[in-house]
Amino acid sequence: MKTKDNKTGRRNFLRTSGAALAGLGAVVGGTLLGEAVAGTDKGNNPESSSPVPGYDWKKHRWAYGIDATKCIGCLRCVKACKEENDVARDANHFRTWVERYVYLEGEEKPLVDSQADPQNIAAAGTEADYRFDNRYKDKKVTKSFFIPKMCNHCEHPACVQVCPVGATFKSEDGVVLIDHEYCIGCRYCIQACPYGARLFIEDMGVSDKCTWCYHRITKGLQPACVEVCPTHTRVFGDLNDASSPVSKFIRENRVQVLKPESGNAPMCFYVGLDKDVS
Amino acid sequence: MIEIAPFTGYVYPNETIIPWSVMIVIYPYLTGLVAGAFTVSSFYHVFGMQRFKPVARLALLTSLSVMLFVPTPLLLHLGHPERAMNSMLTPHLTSAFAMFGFFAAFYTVLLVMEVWFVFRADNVARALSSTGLKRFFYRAVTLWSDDLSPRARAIDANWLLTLAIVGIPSAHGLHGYIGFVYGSLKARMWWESDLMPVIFLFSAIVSGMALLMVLYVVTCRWRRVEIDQACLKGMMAALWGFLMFTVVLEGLEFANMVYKGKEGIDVIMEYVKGPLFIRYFVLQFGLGAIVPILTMSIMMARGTKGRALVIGSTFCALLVLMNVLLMRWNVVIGGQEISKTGKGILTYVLPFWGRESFVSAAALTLAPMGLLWILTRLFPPWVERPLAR
Amino acid sequence: MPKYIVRLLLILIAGSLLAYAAKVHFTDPSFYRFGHYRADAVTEIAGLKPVIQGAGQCLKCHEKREQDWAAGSHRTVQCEVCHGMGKTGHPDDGVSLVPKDTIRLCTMCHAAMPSRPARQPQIVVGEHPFAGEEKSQCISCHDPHMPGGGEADAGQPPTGPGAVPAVVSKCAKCHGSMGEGHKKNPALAGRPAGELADRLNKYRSGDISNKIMKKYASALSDEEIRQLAEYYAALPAPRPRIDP
Repeated sequence: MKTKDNKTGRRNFLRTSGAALAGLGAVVGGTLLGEAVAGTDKGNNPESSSPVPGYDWKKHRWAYGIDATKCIGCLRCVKACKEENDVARDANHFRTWVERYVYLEGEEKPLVDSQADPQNIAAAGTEADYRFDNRYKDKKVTKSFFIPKMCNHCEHPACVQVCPVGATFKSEDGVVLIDHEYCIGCRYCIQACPYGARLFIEDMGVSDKCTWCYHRITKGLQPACVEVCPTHTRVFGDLNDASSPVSKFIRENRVQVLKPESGNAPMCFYVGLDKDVS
Repeated sequence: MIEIAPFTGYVYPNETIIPWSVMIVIYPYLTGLVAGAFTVSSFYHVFGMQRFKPVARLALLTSLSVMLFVPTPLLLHLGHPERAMNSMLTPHLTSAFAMFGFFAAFYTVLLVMEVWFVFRADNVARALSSTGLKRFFYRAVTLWSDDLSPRARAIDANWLLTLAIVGIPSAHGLHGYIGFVYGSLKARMWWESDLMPVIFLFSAIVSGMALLMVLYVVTCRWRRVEIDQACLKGMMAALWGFLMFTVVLEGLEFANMVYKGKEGIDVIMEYVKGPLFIRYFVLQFGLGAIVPILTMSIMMARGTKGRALVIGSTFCALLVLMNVLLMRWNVVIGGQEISKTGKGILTYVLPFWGRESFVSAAALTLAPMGLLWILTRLFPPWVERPLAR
Repeated sequence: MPKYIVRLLLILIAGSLLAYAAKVHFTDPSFYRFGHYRADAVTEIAGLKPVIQGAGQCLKCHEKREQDWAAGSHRTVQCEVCHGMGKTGHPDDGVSLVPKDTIRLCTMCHAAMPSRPARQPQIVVGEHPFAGEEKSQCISCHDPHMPGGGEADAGQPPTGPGAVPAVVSKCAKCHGSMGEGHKKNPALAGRPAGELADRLNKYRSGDISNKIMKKYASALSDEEIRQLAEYYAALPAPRPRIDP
């Protein structure tokens, strides 16, 4: 009796599971077939070789130059960047910033601060507009200067290497961008950047950084920081064009990059770095 | 509530919000327990060391209980947890993080299968002797089969051995890739070290062993069962050996960094002698490693047994669990408290409540024990019967 | 093979197929087109609207600024730097963009700071003429759109404080735009006007022998010498330099 029940039971089970499996197989197979027929490219025209209409990204190789000997630390670049890119107007989120290095008499190591320093924020009276305070005006300063900083849009970006999903990438025209719709907010890229250029937007749950104002440069405009800099400290242009400001900048100056030992090959070229700039 | 980290010296403006919180301390702690518990179970299931039989099945259930909680700290940390599957849809193969989804999925399936095979015979027996809902549950778990013939058992044993063998690199890969993430990060000198994956792995094994020791003693007490002294001694000896090796590796890593003295070492030394001193030298190395090693050495030299052995080894195991948690904290949080400028030090503020807080961290560390209790009720792993009253 | 092994394997196979189907279904169609990222992301980022308009936009209505601002030394200072950035309501919202607190605004760039390069015109607010007086703003004396007079003023007599004599450009080539000196060429800024005027006269007459200075001084009229001396005397003395 038991055997008979078992046999029927087994047969029923096999029948049900077989049917279920067949159903599953139909669903899966149908999906795959459907995707294949519809074509994987439901987005832009697969024929176009540039994702930006009216702009051929293969024709450009963008680069940036900073002549730190000219920087007056007015911080208009920081303000313009925040306005242009709607970066959080507080002291903890910056796509670009300026560092001040001060050597006091008798000291070998410089005192360093940025516009985000609490004392400077207090002097500015607000977290939404920036200025350096004048704390050294009565001190004996032997050497002092400003160094603007930002994302270096490296040729071998460590941040792109470590992104687990492909939310950050280097475009064909040399700009490292972040896909805010795809980023999962793991912040590995923020750890990997040796320059501290990346930030996290808590409200959006994604990483963020300087984009060289990609939405401006693809329209023939300058990045916002370059546009407002009053002393020609910041220089931008196309390396493929020998007469562009950045090509001339590199040709006519001895240029350096920050942390060359990182192997990232940054594309922001500096004139006027100093021994203690990190 | 965004926690702004106070700092001294100069730090990059974006560093004042520390990216990886206590959740990223708990996550490697949990995967470490998974890998460690699996290693203990493999002493019996792969290497056939009979003295570990009393804990082998408990170790598997422990590994499984913790494994099921492993994704939780990550999901609590992600800015977009609903997009987490992106890393499996389009894994970026240059990223160590992309490996997590595959390691975790593979290992979870493997572990479930191994637990299934280990408990199959018991589950069949339970299915046949129960009624109603209980019977349905165990029938379903055994996939409606009651085959316990010698042939079936032989096949089970083969599967089990294969799974257990494959499980070792799988479990170690699951935890080891985390060590690689830290060790390969050139942006932070505190993390960048070739030894990092090995350090993480060995301290993981040590934490798993310590946890099993504590669980074994506690469950034996609860069930009023005599503690198998050979098993406990075996675990203690293994803990002693692996712990010493771990300490050597950690010491080597730190010594290397100091000896090389590359740019940035000044602020690291300032940090180690200052904010990190108690956490690192006194608690992690001193209390968490040297004290257990010395205690266990004394116990082994004197042939301690009986109640003294139980108390002594449990005490050491608890200290080691603290050591490993501190090691994760000192690496993850410590690394972020040292600024990338090489000129500043930050202080991580641990919130009490919130998504990534003391409370959520404590809950995630304790919850797997709750799940383990449930699993031991459903699939009792014990090999000896409780003592008669 | 025992039945339970078959069932186990079927579950594994079914799971794998389901996972693969999910991957194909959920992967964004524009992914992998150009690389390991969503091609649509580039389109989305490039499609954002610029906020900073640039002077070209402002000059469309404010044409008079072509004569003063666009020709003077402040032409590198964009309108939006002083008049506000991202003021998308302008002009329809009727909100005035004329800055009120010019001391705060101007000192953003011109407050004397040890870190600023010497060629940047800088003042110590407390020591600056008329500072602290009631209703005294920078623009009470300085024209913000043409602070130094500029080339537009060439040929006109200097008017008002801060105005730059037209011939200064000839001196600036060697002595620096702020008279701060350059390498072997001495600084002129902050030296007594009488001393400077006297020296120029002596170069012109040959009492001090200097071939280069004789050439330049001979081209100057008495009035120009007087203006230059007064101008450089009023400039802030440069910071001490380490001579190369």
